[in-house]
Amino acid sequence: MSLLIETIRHTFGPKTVLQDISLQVASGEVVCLLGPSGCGKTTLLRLIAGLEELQHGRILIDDQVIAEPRRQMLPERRGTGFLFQDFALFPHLTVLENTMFGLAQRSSKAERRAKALDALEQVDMQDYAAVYPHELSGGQQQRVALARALAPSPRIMLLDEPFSNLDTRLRAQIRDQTLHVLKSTGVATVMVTHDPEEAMFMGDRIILMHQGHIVQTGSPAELYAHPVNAFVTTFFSDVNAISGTVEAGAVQTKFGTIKAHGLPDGSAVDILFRPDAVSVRNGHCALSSHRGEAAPNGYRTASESVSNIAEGRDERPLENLIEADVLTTRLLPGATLVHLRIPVNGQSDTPDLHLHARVPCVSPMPEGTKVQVHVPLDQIYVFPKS
Amino acid sequence: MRLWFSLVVGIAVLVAAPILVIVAHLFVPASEHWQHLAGTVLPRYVANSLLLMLGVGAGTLVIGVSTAWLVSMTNFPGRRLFEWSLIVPLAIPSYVIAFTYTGLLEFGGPVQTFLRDFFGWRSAADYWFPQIRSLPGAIVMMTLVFYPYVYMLSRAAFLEQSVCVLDASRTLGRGAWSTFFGVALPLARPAVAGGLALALMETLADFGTVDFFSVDTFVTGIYRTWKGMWLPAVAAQLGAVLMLFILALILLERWSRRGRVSHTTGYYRQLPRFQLRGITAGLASLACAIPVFFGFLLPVTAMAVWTWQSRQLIDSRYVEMALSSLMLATISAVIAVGTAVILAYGRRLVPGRITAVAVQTAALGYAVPGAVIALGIMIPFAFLDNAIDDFARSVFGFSTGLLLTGTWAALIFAYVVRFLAVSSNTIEASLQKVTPSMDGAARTLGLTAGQTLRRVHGPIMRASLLTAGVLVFVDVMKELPATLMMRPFGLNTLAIRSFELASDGLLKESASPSLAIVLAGLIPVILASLMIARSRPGQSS
Repeated sequence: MSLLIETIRHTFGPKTVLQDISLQVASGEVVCLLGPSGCGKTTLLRLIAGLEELQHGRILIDDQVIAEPRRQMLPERRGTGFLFQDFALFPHLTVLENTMFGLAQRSSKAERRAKALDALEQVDMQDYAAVYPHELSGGQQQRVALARALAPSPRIMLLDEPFSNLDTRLRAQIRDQTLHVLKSTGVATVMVTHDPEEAMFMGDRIILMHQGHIVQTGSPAELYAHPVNAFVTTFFSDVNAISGTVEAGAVQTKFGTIKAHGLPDGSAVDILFRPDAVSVRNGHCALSSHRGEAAPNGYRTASESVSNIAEGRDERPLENLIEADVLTTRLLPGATLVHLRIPVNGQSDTPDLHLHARVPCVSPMPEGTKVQVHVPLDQIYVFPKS
Repeated sequence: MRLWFSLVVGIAVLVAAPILVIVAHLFVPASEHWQHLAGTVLPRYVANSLLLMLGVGAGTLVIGVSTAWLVSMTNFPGRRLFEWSLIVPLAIPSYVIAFTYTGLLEFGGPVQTFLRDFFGWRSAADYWFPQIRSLPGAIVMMTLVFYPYVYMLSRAAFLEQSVCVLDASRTLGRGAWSTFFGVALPLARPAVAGGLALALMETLADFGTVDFFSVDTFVTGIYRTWKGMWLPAVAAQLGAVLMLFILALILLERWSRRGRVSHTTGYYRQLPRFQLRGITAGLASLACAIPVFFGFLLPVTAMAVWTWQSRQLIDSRYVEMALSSLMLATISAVIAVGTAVILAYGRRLVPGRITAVAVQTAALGYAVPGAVIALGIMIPFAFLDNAIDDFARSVFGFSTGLLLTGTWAALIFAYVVRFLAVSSNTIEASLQKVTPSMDGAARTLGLTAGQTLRRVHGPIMRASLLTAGVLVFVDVMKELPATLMMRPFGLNTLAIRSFELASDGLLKESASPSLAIVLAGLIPVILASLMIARSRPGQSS
């Protein structure tokens, strides 16, 4: 149960929506196609299902070619399960009839019924078998749609923005349940989403797409901690951005000297770092959520961060501490956002630096509080000026 | 997919063929007959057709827009009743209302008889009375039954307007009347134009009224040139010139669709109605009552009375006639609905320019008069019949006669060409209820395209399939010119019967078949009234 896609290209009229897309999904793996709307990810999903005609390239399931130009298996013969953004439940059929819809007609009605009920039980919807879709809440509809897609035991599961029609609170819960159901069936899954948090939550691997290209592929941690360009960096979070210039193969910043790999001297660069890379010290108290430099994946565990605050000190001496003023603090779920101003000495024509720091929950600091700021160098990214 | 593509394109070609046959006659060199026609009667046809359109256009605009505004934006006694009853005159074919008013207003009719008795006049020389069988008479008749097109579309536009826009106008210091002319009417203008285009298409297509009133228009000209003089090519050339007028109306209608404003705000609430009181309220009630009374109540009452008086005419022949009408209408409705389903679904399966154009082409018939479509079918069919007959005679030594011309199949083909758009519009709207992802779901769950149509689309669209069928059914019941021109030998329908009796001066006797047509015609009108009542977004029933 694996999926292989080779050099797919696709155009709609004059517009190229997919360019040389190749990827692979192993059995039991959940791969997220992530990207802004209009990047071609849904088209790719529809090509795999056969709902769109392939123009160039090849698609294989279990080493069997299911689509190449002029030789395409019809969607009904591909054995893919598709979960649609709007769920696409048939309004004239009950939950059970919807779930039985895709089960082969040759098996007996009792068998199909039993199989459909099994699938419904997996998503905890067996009590609603006789109900019509319009009587269900959004979350319940999503679960029925999932059961319906899984009931025929598809070889590949395709999910198109499956949570975007749910409200925020429900989304987290349904997402969790969906992940467990998918993992327990072990089906190879491709999920399309525009929400990076959702992709990081669901995906074993993330394929980040932009304007029909694959920009970066890897584990959620790789994409988050080692983005290959400014687009990837900014796609996962809001960032602090400052400008700089390459001198002698490196960029001088207030936070230290960063190597500018391969960028020519004199070229203008963007210097980016995430708000959660910034740690803030207020006198004796260190507020930091930043990732320890030593950790191999670029992260420190949550407990380490928490312990830093609990003990009220950071055990390691930090270099390159910078003085900053607190502009304001905002308490957010799970973190506090601190707006900081770093005065630029003596140069009145350049405006002061404005930084965001995302630190573990603290009580608000009044405006004007003097703090010290630190950013680990390996979490500062340098890219050519866009 | 290739199958669906071929089906869609094939249907479009078949349906467009009769229209193309006529249009092609624009390029046929003018014959001697045509020269003669162009020099004598053609100017009259053009003048009469234009005057008719002008009169009916003005009449339907005034009645349609004013009543629509009154019932959707103001409140007065009887408003709810008028809301739906203003549509009801649509159930009456124009020729039926023409027969009825002639029966009422002619010299021997009840009105003049009453006036003579009352004033003691003896003969027609003693007094002046307007001649109903005239161009102005035809304008009044058609206005009375075609204004609901303008009414329905204007009302829908008034109902759809977001109250925010109107509120904004009021807060910017505009009064109620100024808001109507400055905001509401401009926003509704495309819809009004669309309704007007439909009313004018019906006006141009009308045969029964103008023929009965002896007002020479294009359609009567085509009919006479073909039937009386047997000059099919000249008739087709007349049809081709008429198509230029129709093209203008199609363009107007298309423009109106494009121009329909999409409101930027989705905020709707109960429209604030201006409460009318006293004399204004009375005038509003009167303004709405007049079209309903003269367009429906009076003629239907007259027909009912006459049907009762001539009830001995309702015999087995009458039943046979009704059955023929029912059968023709049912078969045509089923075929039109089936064809419309294939077009709509095929277009969804094979999206693209070609199928889009094909579907639009297949819907052209709604604008083309029945007489023109009949001609466009009979000319090639007669040619084929002759060719087959010649071939059979020369090769096998016997005559095949007429295989295509004058058959039920040819007549039903004409109906489908004419009314396909009616079913298509309904079905395309209903197909929107089946989201494309439902198609995708069914396909990925293992159903073929055909199975999906049967198991998903069919059940979801059931009610609309029925509605579409009923709409075509009624249009076929009313259809007159194509039926007259193409009817198989011995076939009699309610519409033909009504027309023949009236043409023979037996107006009271023609009331019973007319009444049957009107009663059948009420079904879709009631459906439309229900739909229009529910059409306002954000307002439950």
